[in-house]
Amino acid sequence: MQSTTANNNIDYKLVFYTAPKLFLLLKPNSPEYTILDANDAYLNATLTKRFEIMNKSLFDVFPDNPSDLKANGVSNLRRSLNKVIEKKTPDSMPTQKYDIQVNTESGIIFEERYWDVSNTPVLNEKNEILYIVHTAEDVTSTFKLENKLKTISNEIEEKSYLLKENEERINAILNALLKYTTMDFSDKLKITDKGDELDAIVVGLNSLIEELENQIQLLKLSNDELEYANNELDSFSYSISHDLRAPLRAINGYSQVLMEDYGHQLDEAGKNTINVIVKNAIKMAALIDDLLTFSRIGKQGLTKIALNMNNMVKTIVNELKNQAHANTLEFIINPLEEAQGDNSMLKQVITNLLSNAIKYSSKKEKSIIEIGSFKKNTMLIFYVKDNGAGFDMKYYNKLFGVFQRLHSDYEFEGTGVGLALVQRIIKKHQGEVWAEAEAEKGATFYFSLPIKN
Amino acid sequence: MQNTIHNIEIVLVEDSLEDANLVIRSLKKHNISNSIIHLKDGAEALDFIFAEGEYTSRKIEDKPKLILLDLKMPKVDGLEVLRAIKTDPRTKTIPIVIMTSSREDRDLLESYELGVNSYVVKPVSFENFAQAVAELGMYWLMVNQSPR
Repeated sequence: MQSTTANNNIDYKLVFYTAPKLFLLLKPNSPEYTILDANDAYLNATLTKRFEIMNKSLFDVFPDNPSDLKANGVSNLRRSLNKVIEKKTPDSMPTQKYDIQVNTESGIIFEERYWDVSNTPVLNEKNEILYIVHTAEDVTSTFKLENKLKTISNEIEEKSYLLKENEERINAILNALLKYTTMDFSDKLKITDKGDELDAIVVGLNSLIEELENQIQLLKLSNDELEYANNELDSFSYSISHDLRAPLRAINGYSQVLMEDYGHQLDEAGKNTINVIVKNAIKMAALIDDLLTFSRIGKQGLTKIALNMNNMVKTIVNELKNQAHANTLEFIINPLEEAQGDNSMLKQVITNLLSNAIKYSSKKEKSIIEIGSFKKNTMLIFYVKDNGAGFDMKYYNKLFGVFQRLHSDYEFEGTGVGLALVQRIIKKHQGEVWAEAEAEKGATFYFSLPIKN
Repeated sequence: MQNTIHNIEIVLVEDSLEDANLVIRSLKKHNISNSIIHLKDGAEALDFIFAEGEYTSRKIEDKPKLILLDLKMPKVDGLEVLRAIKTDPRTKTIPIVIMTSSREDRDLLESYELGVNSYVVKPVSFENFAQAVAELGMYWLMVNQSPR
């Protein structure tokens, strides 16, 4: 080592002074630790001048910040230095807060600084400590950054806790909302003392609920009115059924009396006139009956059950077969799907469609009537097909109207209520009715019912 | 036939004179010539049955064989008459047939709950009406045996 130093003429003092790292050379004289020298980088970093610090005790030059009650720079540094002397090995300190003095216009103040410090003994051949090399790195900005990161991550943790808490509150609101959709308002939402957006939502919701409850109350009132009107209608149709029928009976009965008591005085034209009166009175009675059924179906509630349509159709076909017919009847009854619906109402539908099929095919030599069913998407579709008079599709829009007829009474008798009734019943079942026909080539009537209610 | 209020066999309570005449005509036509009285409303019917008002000379014990009762009548309606007769032990054995235009289920149900013996909806058609009246008369006057 001696030889290398001797031979190359290197200016070690200059190297030491201009080295980019921070160096301070100390005398190993505990407890003073006199400063022997420092390089330029060190002086710059600590805002000191060489002449100010040379030959002074380290701790006189760099005291603790008196306003920082937790300051431990002096004691930690001293401990490290003592350790170096004792063990004769280098010692590194964990990042240490050690504020430095700054001269300002308003006097000396301390500036916050963080340092990574290591102390290294310089030993001679006899293993005696000549100096202690104190190096330091100003890590203030890194440390502050780390601290900031730590603060941020703490804040994130705190925020995520708040978020979780808010999530629970939102869930409570959603659950309450879900309950409200079933008109159950027993869960009133509570307002926290936070006064945040969620509280604002809760306040809004609560006033909405209140408004809703008011509206429901109003609805109930108008519902009562409706019920009253319905009852009125009920007694109205009751009166119709009783009061309109009585005069018809009189017209009919006394026409008959006229015929029996005075028939012998009348010629054929006179007798025919009486028959027309009787026939029309009976027709009007049928109209009243159909109309009453029609209005009753509108008010009636549905009792949906699983219906064996095969049995229902067989029963109805047998009843219809037993009535008098102008021609021969042939029924083609395909196996039918089970339907969900109101028994008596669907019976009425099947009866009306089959009676129509019989009626409108009565002028053919032989009536061929087919009934069947099939599934399409979510609907179950039934059809009744005949080979009868059919109708022109350009009058289709009148087919299902009340008192609307596509044939004259002279051709086929009827009140014009049957298909309107069919449509009303099927609509009540959330189904549809439609038809396909061609004049003189028969008609097919379809109705659909939802497969599951 | 209505000149005596004693020994009456059929009481017809009907506010419509036309309907009443048709009923009487049908009964006669089928040779049911028992003595018939036609009363025009429920109040008169109650007076007659319970021997009150202008019928105080009657005896409640002289029970008719049959009451044909309309439902919808002024003053006292048919259901009230039915209730009064069927709840009184002195009169409850008199057969009562409701003859009405009403096809309402509630009327039918209430009539049977009050103990009506038969419920007939008057058909509009005269033949059916005459037929129904005649069958009723035959059954209740000739076939049926009421306790005395």
